[in-house]
Amino acid sequence: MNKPVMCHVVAGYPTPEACLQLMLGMQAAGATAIEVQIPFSDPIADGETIMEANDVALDNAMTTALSFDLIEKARKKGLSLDVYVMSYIQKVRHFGLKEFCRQASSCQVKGLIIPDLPHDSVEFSDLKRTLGKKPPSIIPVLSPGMMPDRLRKVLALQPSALYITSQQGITGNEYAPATQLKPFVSQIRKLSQAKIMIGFGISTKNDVKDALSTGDIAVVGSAIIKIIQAGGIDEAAIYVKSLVSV
Amino acid sequence: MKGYFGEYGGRYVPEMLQGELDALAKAYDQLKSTQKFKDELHKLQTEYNNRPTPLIFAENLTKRVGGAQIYLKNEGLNHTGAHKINHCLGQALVAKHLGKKRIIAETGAGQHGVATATVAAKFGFECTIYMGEIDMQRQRPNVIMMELLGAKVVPVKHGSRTLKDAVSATIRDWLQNSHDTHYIIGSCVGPDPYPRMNRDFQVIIGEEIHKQLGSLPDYVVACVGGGSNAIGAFYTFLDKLSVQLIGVEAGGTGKEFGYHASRFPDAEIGIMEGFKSYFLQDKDGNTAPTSSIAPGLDFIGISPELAELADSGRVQFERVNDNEALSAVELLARSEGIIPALESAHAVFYGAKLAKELPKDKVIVINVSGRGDKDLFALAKHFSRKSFGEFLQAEARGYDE
Repeated sequence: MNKPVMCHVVAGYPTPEACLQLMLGMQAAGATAIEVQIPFSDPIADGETIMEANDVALDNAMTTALSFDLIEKARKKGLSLDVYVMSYIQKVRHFGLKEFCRQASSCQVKGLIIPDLPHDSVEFSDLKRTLGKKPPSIIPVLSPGMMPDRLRKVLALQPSALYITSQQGITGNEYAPATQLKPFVSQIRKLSQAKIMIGFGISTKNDVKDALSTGDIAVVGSAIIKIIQAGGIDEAAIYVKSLVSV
Repeated sequence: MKGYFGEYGGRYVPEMLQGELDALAKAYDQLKSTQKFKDELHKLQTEYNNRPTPLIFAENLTKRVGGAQIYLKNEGLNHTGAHKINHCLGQALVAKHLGKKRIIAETGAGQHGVATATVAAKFGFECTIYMGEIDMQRQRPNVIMMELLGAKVVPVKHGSRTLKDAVSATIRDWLQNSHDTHYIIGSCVGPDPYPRMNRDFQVIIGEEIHKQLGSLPDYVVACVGGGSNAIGAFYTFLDKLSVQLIGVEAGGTGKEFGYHASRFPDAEIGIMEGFKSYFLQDKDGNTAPTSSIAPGLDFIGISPELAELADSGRVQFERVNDNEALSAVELLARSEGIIPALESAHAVFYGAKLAKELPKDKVIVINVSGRGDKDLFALAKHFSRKSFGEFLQAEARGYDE
């Protein structure tokens, strides 16, 4: 059994075609799920590495529609893993909530990860209503140290999964989980059945092991892009294989 | 809903900042009504800063234009040369009460950066300013001033390497360091409580106008980038419906998309940089390129409060292009001996144009949000290209030796 790792890609990075191969390569390497980020000009929760990948993808003329096309193509070529779509609320809103949900559902996306969409906003309610009961569902992004009453309200929405940042800050920093991470997750487990994804800074086998001692899935993002920058998508697949192997 | 102006505003930021914004809003709401805070701010505004700033009757300009009476609110006489210091002082005071040790800010032209570095020095905060790499090249003199004031200026090297990228970089810093760091946003934008907090610190402009004039004006005209000087000048008059409020946006070099920074009518409603408002966007919802000779107006978004006031029609928006703004710098300099900032010159141009069409008994107040010293290089390029070029070359030779 492989270790449960969700691999992050930016749609259209390093090129649309290579991104497609990358997704299939990650599946072959034993990834558990793929997180596809729809590129945006102002990704505020992302560190430099993912931000630059967003810029490259946008320079490659990647759009929201083409990002869904890419997932669809990957599905046709045999991508059977769980796919989560990550973006910012601006991209979702601009595409149209209804159309975004329709396309996501048509390529069997399991969840939407939108870090700048607070659960108490009108857009969150609208998106949730538009999605209905079938997948994809909204995967709230939470952080240790967040306000307790906000946590209670998010959990009351009975999310199927939660994306929890290992630390304060942005993606791509060194893995240094906050001391409150473990107690935070234990507290959530008492109140919720949600699957726990842990992300932000995970890059080594040890990081994966540590994240999985707390959560159910480890998310690897910036580290993969750094590997692609240095050695291309084939190296990335080898890297993922080494991360997931027990 | 709290934190919104109609449908605009909100707190569209990751969960890890929600607590920080909540704490900031609570602290601010509690502080602002205490006498101690009011006294401290008043002392800073009158002793450290130069308030009240004068409201003058522009007699020569009025005669020259030949229409309505033109008054100028001279915010250029604030310490550091523009209205930005008003909200920087207020926020520094809030940061002090919150026990923060460090101040961060974004800057485009460097004006907000200089004002922030100034209050950081005055209050003894550590200070980091994020500035797009291209803006740093264009506005080197302000970088030198910020560094002299003790701030660390960090070049932002991604995206368009201008203001919007500096905003994102500052938000990223805040995401990582909010425990000891206060973010002084440069306009009435960003997640709640920033738009209303900065507005509260800027409404002193309109309050002074009302008091100094002793009656209601017929028009108040202000330039609009993010909107801090405009909402500051307008707010007092919002419920005085006889007063027409006009925001002047940057027309840049053309009406085509990408050649200006006018949000109306080209912008769409969007959610960026933590708030919902009108933003200039491309076909896929990414930020659009913008252009203006006035760096302070060269921005994709607008204050959520002004977005609502645009929808309701309470504030009317007009645009003035680069060349018109340059002509207004000369006009005001020659007629009144006041060199306005290029941003403010947009308001001056529109105000003068409007005055011409109106009868003599009407009163127009133009908010001159800043003075033009900062625009030396842009002005020289336009007005004294040859001689200033020679001067720069001679200066550069001095550095080689």
